[in-house]
Amino acid sequence: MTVGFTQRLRASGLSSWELGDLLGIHPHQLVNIDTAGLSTQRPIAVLIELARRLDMHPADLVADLDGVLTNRRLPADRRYGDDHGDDRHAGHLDGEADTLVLLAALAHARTPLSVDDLAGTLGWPLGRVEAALGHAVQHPGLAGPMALRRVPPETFTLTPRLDVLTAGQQQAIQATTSWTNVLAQDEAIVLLGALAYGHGPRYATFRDTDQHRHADATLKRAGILYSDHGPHHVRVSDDVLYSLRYRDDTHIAHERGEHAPPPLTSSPRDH
Amino acid sequence: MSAATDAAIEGDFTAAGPAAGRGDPGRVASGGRIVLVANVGDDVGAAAHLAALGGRADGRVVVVRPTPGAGDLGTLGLDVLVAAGKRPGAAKAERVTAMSWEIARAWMRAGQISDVVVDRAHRLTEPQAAALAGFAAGVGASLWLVWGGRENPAHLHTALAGAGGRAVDQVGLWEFRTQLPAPAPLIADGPGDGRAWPALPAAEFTTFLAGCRRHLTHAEFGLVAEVYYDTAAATDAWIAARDRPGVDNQARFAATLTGWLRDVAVGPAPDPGAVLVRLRAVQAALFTHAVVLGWEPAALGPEPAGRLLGDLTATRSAALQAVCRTDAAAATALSLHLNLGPTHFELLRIADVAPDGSAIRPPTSTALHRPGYGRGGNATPQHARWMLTAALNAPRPASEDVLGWGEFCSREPILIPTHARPIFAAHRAYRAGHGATDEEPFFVHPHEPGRRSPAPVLREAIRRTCRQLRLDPPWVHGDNCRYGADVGLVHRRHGWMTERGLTMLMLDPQYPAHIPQPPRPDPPARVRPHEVRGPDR
Repeated sequence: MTVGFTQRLRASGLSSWELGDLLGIHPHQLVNIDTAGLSTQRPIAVLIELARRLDMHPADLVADLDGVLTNRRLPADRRYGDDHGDDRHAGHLDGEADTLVLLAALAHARTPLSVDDLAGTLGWPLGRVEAALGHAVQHPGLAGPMALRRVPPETFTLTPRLDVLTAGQQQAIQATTSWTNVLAQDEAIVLLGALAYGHGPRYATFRDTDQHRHADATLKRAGILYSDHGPHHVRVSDDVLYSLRYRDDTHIAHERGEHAPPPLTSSPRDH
Repeated sequence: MSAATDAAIEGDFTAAGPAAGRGDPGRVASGGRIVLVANVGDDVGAAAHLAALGGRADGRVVVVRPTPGAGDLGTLGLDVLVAAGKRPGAAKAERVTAMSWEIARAWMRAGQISDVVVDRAHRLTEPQAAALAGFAAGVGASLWLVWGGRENPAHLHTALAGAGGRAVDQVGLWEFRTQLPAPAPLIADGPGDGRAWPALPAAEFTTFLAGCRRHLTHAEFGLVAEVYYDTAAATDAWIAARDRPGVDNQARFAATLTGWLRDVAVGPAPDPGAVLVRLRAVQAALFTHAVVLGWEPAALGPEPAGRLLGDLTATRSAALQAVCRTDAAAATALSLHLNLGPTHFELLRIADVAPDGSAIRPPTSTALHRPGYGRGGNATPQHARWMLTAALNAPRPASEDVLGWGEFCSREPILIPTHARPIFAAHRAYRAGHGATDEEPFFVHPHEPGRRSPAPVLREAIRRTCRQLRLDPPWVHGDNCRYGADVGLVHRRHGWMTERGLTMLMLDPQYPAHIPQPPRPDPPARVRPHEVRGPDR
């Protein structure tokens, strides 16, 4: 429990009986409750009530709230993109708000949009769209890591900027084969089969007779299995063998540029 | 071994008395017990329990496994040496076979052994049993003889009592387990001291450890590796001690596995980081035994790893101890621990709950036919109909599946977390205070005990108590509750695994024989971060 919380508790005059009742536990147990247990595992009603009783900002009770309390409030269209408030906005908007709406619309769209499309979907006159586009071109920083692109003949879209990642990072992103899917039953069988038969010619028989070709292809796409000497032999990825405790981490150590540890038999005193 | 040696050993124990060990005449035998453990059904759980006992970290319990078919004292002496941790061939190589008992006694006294457990004791000859009794008395330990025979072992009572000078108790497997509990495997806790875990990869178990090795700093990876290898080794030991049933009997294995995950391997982890690493390690270890433990985190909302932890937390136990009614507190605690409604709780007898509340023996399917069940034939028609359905569709009708019978009727005890034990002990004491005997039900209807099923009352009590705890567990929703069904009108099964998005699947049993089983190093030297030479990230 933070010092600030304890002080506020004392200042508020909230008795430990009342606090215990609010949290649903016996007051004697309060000493065992840490801040994490107090804040993150409680229903929202308890937090609101605590904040109200102690006059505290909710983010001081739950640290995780810090990041979200600055989000924009609903309804968003009262401030941005209000199709009924043109008269009210006209003249005193500096174009930045409209530009943000325009960029958000382009990011949501699945295909590049023309000026007509944008005007239709946003309910704006063409001139306002043009003005927002012009503002976006003049202030590329508004789009953050994305950039407004013109797709010929007259459509627009958002794509990532090319100057943010290094060449190596970009290449690695392209080559990533992430494997976070849950292993399906047939994939599990094929992986076990590869562990058992992968080094010999029996794997091909196993894969073809049991109709495991599809799972085999899926695992190869995911980088779990690979074939370096033709499709009849298959090998299990080093990462998988390491995670299943069949081998050590030498391959990752090499990759990370770590030197092998000295042999256990030699010691500095030997030299 | 020669007859002379036999006589010497016998003389050592029977004539000179248990307290008069060679070289230590002043030693006095402590008040260790001699206990016959009845294991008539040759329960596989007994083998698992013995395996766990043998691996106790404190090393105070030894398990003697007599060589089958050898009725002489010499061979048994070598078995005792093996139990004391000596290599099987060591006594022969060192030419001390004639002194096996004496050496074993020296080692065991030095190790302050408190309990000597003998497996398959029904195969012992009477002199062997008497020698063991004398030996245990000489060491100052209790002697537990696990008796798998069908005949009444009473004829040995006299021989044992004569040799050890002590009375012989007889207990069942349940008492054996509660009086000599197996230790929980030692699994590292991670950073501890309230420090946070690093962000862990979202990779499936197939590449989880590699992901950690690649993306974490050495210090962070050291924490992960410690928990991962500990858990995987514990899982290997757990599965090795159990019969792996065929694919046709997945349900029974799933129930046992659920208990292991819930009570030991996954549920009691200290925080979401540790629980994720533990789950991935269990998955990887089980996979090499052709058991796929699938985890579908997508259905669990944000921070899915936090949902893997047990629901009976220390905070909730504390809140439950502020409840007055002992039955409401105990039923809610059990329901939160198992993630099941109280439908089958009435099958529990008082004797099924350990006096300190540390363990609960689940009912077997035969309990459905026990005369006491259904309140001596006075069950309500609805209850009687359910019983009939259960009996007719044995062993596992679909309705029971939905209500969680499969997870409830595991053959191994339900272990209760330390902080919740007083709740069960309190209700046991309350029932005993009302004059209930051990054979009577643990939960009864508050107004018409013995006549009506307590399940509906318990369900209401659990709902009410959960409201006080500001919880709304889906497994106590009514059957018609739309929140109880995830997909259309198909009621989802209740249970610990379902609540965590876990599924178990046993693959074709032919594979394990073909899977390469290389030696599993206790973390290989290279994964220990302080031994890795290189730039930290």
